[in-house]
Amino acid sequence: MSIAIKKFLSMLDQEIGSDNELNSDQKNVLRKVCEKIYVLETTGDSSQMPSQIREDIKFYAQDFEG
Amino acid sequence: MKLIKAHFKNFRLLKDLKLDFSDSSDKKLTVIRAANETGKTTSQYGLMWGLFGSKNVLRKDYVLSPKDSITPSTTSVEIAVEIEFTQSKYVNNRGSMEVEENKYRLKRLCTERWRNQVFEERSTEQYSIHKITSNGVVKLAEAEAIEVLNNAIPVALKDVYFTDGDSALAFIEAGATQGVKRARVSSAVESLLGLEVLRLTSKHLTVVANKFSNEVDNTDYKNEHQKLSDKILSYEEDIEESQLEMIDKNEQLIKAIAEIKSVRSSIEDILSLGDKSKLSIALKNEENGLRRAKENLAEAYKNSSSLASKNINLSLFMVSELAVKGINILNGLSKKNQLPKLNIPILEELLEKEKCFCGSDLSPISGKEKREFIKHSIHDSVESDAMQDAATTLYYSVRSQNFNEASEKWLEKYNASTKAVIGFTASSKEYLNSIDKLNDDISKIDDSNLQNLRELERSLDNAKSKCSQRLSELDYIIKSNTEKKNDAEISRKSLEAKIGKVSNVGSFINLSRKAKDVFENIIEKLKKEELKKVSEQLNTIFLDMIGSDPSKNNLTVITKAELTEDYDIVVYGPNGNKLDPDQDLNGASRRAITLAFILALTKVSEVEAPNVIDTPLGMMAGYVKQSVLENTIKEGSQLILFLTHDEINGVESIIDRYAGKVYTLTNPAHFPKMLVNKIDVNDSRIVRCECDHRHHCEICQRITKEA
Repeated sequence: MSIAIKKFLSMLDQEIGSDNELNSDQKNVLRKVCEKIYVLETTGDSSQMPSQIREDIKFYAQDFEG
Repeated sequence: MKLIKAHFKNFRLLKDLKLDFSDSSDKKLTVIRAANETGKTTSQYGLMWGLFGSKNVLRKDYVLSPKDSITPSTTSVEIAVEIEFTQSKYVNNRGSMEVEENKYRLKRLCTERWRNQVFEERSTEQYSIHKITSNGVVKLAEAEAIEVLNNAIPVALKDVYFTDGDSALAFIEAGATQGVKRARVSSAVESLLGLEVLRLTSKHLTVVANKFSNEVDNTDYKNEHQKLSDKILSYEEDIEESQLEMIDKNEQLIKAIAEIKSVRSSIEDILSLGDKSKLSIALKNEENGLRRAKENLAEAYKNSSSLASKNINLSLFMVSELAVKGINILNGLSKKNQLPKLNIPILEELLEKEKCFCGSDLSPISGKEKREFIKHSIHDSVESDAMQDAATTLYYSVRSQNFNEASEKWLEKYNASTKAVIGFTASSKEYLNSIDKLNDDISKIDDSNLQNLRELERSLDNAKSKCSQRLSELDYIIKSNTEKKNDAEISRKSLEAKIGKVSNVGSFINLSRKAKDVFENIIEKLKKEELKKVSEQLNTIFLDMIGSDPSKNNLTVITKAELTEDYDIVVYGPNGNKLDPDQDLNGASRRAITLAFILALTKVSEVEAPNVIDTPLGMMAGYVKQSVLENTIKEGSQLILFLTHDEINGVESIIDRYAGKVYTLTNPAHFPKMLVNKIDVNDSRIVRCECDHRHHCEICQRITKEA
């Protein structure tokens, strides 16, 4: 069990929202990638995580850089 | 997660018992009414065993087989628990998170082996989870079953969600050291706030970012990046090593503190029977006292003895009465000049001089006649003179003696001597009694271990000091390395920004590090802000439970409760004085604070899971009892309470209002002392009837004191 997902999402919004270095597009991408990684972590096989996270990062990185 | 129903088979007295639970959000309370020894705790254990398995719930020697079913021919008993529950799962549906609620049936079973009515072993447990869908029941693959089970209620939270009025006190009980209590509280907080999974995510993101770093292909940047990464890695390794040592030292410190407490308690136990060394000194003093008393007694006897022998005063005392009479007679004779009587020597002198005082001739020839007369007189007087001589001698001997004075003197000495003998005899006896008691006390004290314990205490104190000192050093090392690591990370981040402009790998690194920072910051916020929220909720719920409102009444005994950053549960009295929850609170308030902590934690975490509580309202009455129940219902998402008839007394209307299900468990063995009717069963087992908290039937009707 982890902290309830809605709680995590609310904290994620707060955290990313308060980041002044990022523009809104970057914030959206970062929010999506963090959300996806968190869901993966709470539901998936921990040993497979790094490789799955790596693929997600690669997928979203281009959008993040704009 | 919400519990729907459970079915126990051969789980001790629960031979074939079905429980069902209210999962409605309006009526989230289930009350299972059961008297003592009626399967409340066993039912709770059954649920925990089903969810967490033997290794997390049961002691090895805790036998599950129903005792009365074991006969000489029994070789095995199969035990099974089935639990049906719902579990919410968030799924990513085309980019948006959606809640999916699934229903599962968990079945755990095991076999216990018996030989000649002696328990041998519990065979390997098996469990399976089936997903219940509208299309039918599907068995989950092992990996998925593990995931479902882990997401239901993790083992670390079993003490939070499955508790009873007594074991909830584990968070504040005095038997545990501060460190142990903190560990219990922090484990519950960290599990419920999901810090573990967040830390793991952060770690995975670091691994991913480092792998991307190795793929940087620009030679200049690669070397510089490699150097910075190596530096950071080195700092991280040092920090991790120090943190591991810190954990180890903290454990050693906690262990040392616990052992010191235990050793001191053992020393106090021995000393409470008496300090053998002090008792030995006391014994020696008493023995010296006895020796002196005996010497004094001997002296007193000697004095007494001397008073009784060769003592003129004793002689005078003894003859005084008669002697005084004799002296009076002798004095009388003396006054009459009859003593001393000197006529014979005078007459003999006259005969020798042959002439009388009167001039008469007393020569043998011419004065023969007179001479013969005198001789005759002398002869006649000889016998009476002998007596008179004795009387005269006696007279001269005793006339100078003061018999009264001598008697008084002797009596005085005799009294003093007797007093001394009595006194020293008594004190000898007192010393002997005291010596006997001391010897008895000493013989009861087994302090052969005392010296060892004192040495152990010193050695543990040393170990504790060394641990504390090393912890300070490690704290400094970690801070210093963290600062250096942060500086290097800033440099690397700046370099990675440059790499990002010329290579895809740079953007991968950048995003992974950014995501990692997000998770790290959430962890920090959870630790600080959420802990603060738990503390605030704890305070609100607790004060409400016990009916304390310090803002409106300055006589309030308990003014505040707090969960500190160090995971201590602290209660405050008037003027901000700290109270020890374990010692300064009454039984009801102690239960209330632990329930308030559990409820605050579950509320802040927003985790949905059932609170299954056995006898939470024991030791409570009146307002506090009602308030604790109302708050528990209000704050929990699903509440399953095992309540005795006494606990229900006074809270019936609250149960009316909030309970979705109420039924009763009965132990037929309670007939005829506690049950009115004999229940028609062939063996020992708990039976269920549908009677709620206000009704009874032929099965559950109990004998009241009044009846």
